[in-house]
Amino acid sequence: MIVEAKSAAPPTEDERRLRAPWRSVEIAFWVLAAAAYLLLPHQLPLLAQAAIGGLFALSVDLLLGIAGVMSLGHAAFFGIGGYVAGLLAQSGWGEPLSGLVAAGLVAGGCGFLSSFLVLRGSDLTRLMVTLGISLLVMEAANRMTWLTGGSDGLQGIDVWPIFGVWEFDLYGRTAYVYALGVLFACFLLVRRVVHSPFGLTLRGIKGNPRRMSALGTPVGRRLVGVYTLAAALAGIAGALLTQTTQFVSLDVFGFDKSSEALLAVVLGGAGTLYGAIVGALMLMELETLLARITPEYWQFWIGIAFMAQALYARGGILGFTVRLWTRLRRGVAAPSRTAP
Amino acid sequence: MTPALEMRRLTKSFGGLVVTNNVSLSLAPGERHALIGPNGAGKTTLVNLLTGVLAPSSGEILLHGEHITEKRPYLRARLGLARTFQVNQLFPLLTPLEAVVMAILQRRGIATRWWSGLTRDRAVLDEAWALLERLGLGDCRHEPTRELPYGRQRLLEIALALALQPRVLLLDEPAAGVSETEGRDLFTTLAALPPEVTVLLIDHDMDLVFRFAERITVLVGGAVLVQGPPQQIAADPRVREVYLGAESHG
Amino acid sequence: MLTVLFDGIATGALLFLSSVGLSVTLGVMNFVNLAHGVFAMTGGYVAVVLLNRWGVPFLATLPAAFAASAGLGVVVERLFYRKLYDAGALEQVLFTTGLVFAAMAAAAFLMGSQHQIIQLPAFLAGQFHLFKGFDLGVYRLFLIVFCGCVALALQLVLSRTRFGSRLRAAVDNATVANALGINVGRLFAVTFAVGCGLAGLGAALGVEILNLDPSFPLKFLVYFLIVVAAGGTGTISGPLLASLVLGICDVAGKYYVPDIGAFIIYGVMVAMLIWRPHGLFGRRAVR
Ligand SMILES: Nc1ncnc2c1ncn2[C@@H]1O[C@H](COP(=O)(O)OP(=O)(O)OP(=O)(O)O)[C@@H](O)[C@H]1O
Ligand SMILES: [Mg+2]
Repeated sequence: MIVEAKSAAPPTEDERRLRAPWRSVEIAFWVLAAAAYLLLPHQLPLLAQAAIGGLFALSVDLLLGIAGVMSLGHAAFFGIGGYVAGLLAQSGWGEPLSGLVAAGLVAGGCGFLSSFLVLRGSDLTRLMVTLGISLLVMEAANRMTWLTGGSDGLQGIDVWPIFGVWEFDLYGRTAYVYALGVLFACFLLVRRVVHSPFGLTLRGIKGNPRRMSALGTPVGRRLVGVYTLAAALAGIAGALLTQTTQFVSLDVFGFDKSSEALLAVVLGGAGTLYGAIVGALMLMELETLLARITPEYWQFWIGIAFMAQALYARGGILGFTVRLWTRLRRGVAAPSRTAP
Repeated sequence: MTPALEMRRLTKSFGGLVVTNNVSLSLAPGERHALIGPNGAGKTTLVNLLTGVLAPSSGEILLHGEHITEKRPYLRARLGLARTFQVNQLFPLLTPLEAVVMAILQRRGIATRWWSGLTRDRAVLDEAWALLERLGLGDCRHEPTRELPYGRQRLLEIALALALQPRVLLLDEPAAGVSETEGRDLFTTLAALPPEVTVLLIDHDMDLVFRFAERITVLVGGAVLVQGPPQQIAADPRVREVYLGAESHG
Repeated sequence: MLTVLFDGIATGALLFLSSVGLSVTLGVMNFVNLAHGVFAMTGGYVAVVLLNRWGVPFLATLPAAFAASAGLGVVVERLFYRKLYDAGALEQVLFTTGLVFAAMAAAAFLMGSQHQIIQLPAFLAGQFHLFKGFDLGVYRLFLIVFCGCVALALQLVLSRTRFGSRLRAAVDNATVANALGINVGRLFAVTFAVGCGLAGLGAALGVEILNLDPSFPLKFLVYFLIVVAAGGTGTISGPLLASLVLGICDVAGKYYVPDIGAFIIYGVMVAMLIWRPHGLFGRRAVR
């Protein structure tokens, strides 16, 4: 089988695969997302929300789909980011971009500190610790009425125009461009990280932490890194929500926020990055649709969707499509591995 | 000369069960040493103690004269102590190329880079490719590991350890479950390791062990029964009794 | 002071009943069952409907609540959970979270979102005058005695019967038990059903103390998890002790420091998990 005369150097094909160059589908995805501005002018507020949900889900995917860390409390960081941006704007500094940065830094800092508590023990312990911490944070926010406005939420959030030029408008045009731009920037970062040596290590940890430490990798420290990054991204997503809706309430900390992000990731296909965004979009559409049909009891059907997903569609929709695609075009690599 | 790897009165017990019993052993740099013993003798446990997967109940471990008894597993790996696992410990979703590149990046200390791509250092890729070729994994280097046949996975298990360019290599039944030809190829590769690499080989195949090793230690019930060059071990009546007698082939 | 202690013990007793079953699914079967509260809630609502709408006597609603929850447990276990035993923790989380959401919406649809109120029978309504300044509510006394009896019965079943010894064997090592010819699957199914039944019983007994409403499964999830985490698996005394401590902490916290009430509970939970991250869930870690 193997030909005798081998070239001394690896084929450039190897390099191409490891480099994970942009593929046409990916470019098409972002072009389409940008085109939605023109194509779906009435949907823009909703699409902005979807982009924010997509960013939050992306941070969960980085954690779950890439590094294999399961969290039931990621909304804690989303909420922290949301309140940081809200409090900044309320106290007179409404500049949006610096608000995002501040939110990301604070949420990332909280993520870093809590990571030492979270990243021990088994999956089950992690699920409970993350859940417990997010409940603690929510309860704290609930008690600190003087700071957070308690159950009424933060009032009087005034966000300045972006770059001092583009005012947030009623039709959600600015909001969509802003949210999509931030999502894209964060996506670039995550994509870079996933296909870097650090990202490869994370995928290795997901696959087999035991072997990773035998290879010389301090597994705990790598996970602290990715947990911090994921928390910062979640914080940015939360800040985006506050800035685009000019409002933030305790809902941002909710257990349903955390679990819906998990669902979005699994729905779209864990570990694929795009899956998280597509999943969040689909979940949002589904919720809007259900809310229109049964305004009070849509949660019932969401619950059913969770259950069906767990039972029948492992690997997610994008995972399924990617598998199909690879099967059709054997030999052409998928953008990254799909979940097992 | 300082031994490459030294165990001093190493003991491990699980509850009341003593699995490693006062083992003292020292391997000279470059030595090819074999560890044999019947099933359940405590060979894998010894490797786990050496690599830090398990903490010993008492005793010390020295690597090139440095105390590593308390060191975490990843630090021992960084000091040049690599192992293979008796039961494959691989990355099901990564390809052999990715897995080996990952190990090499780790060894070179650039695995924390998050801002550059995987191919920035051409040398990493060259090295990974050469290693895979050497182990005959070149033609399947792009298949996800879980889709590889068992024999190939076994080779990858060894490739990952070799990618660390270890100074001391612990091989826990590397040829278990691979075909005879693959096993022979494997030992050709191991025989071609640089002479300064110290190897501790665990295997049940006596022919291979006797051909490969310069010295052999027989472990029975967690304790060292006898130690010496192959001819001496082969001639030792106690070894015949507990080991070679128990196994029908010998 | 003593009254707080007493109320705490009563709440703890209810928590014990509601969560002892979870220690089996979560700790022993290694199934991430976040929906345990759904089964408890079902029992609670069955009791409320029987009592308030159909006028069934309080004591007679209890077996019905048990049966309803156990029945639901059997159905859900056989139809769904069984398929997810081999799946990852993620699928189990998704499924059981979905079940919680669906059940909460269904409960709101069927029963309304208000707290349920029940009319206790006359013989449970009075006060028991022990000595000056210390009155015991008969109802709470009843709860404590009842739960104590159940705990005792469970302990006897576990230590004295054939079923109990098999269960202990399976808890210790499911693979070995299987090899010994014990039908571990059926054993767990029965245990699961009983656990769900007890949860329903607990909720039925404590409709008002536990504030039964549609958010019950989510509200009590954390409490249940704490009991399992702190109490460990495979014993009755572990979860019992953990429940009592939790109940007392909870009542005392709400009584003395109402401002940071829930804070204490979550704080205790996180602290405990950090203190014993590995040893909490029995021997085997999830995959
Ligand atoms: N974690 C553990 N807890 C309790 N006993 C253990 C544990 N690990 C190993 N043992 C026991 O220690 C003994 C030695 O096991 P070990 O795996 O080291 O043997 P081995 O020599 O590698 O055997 P084999 O040739 O089958 O690989 C066995 O009796 C085993 O049951
Ligand atoms: Mg072994």
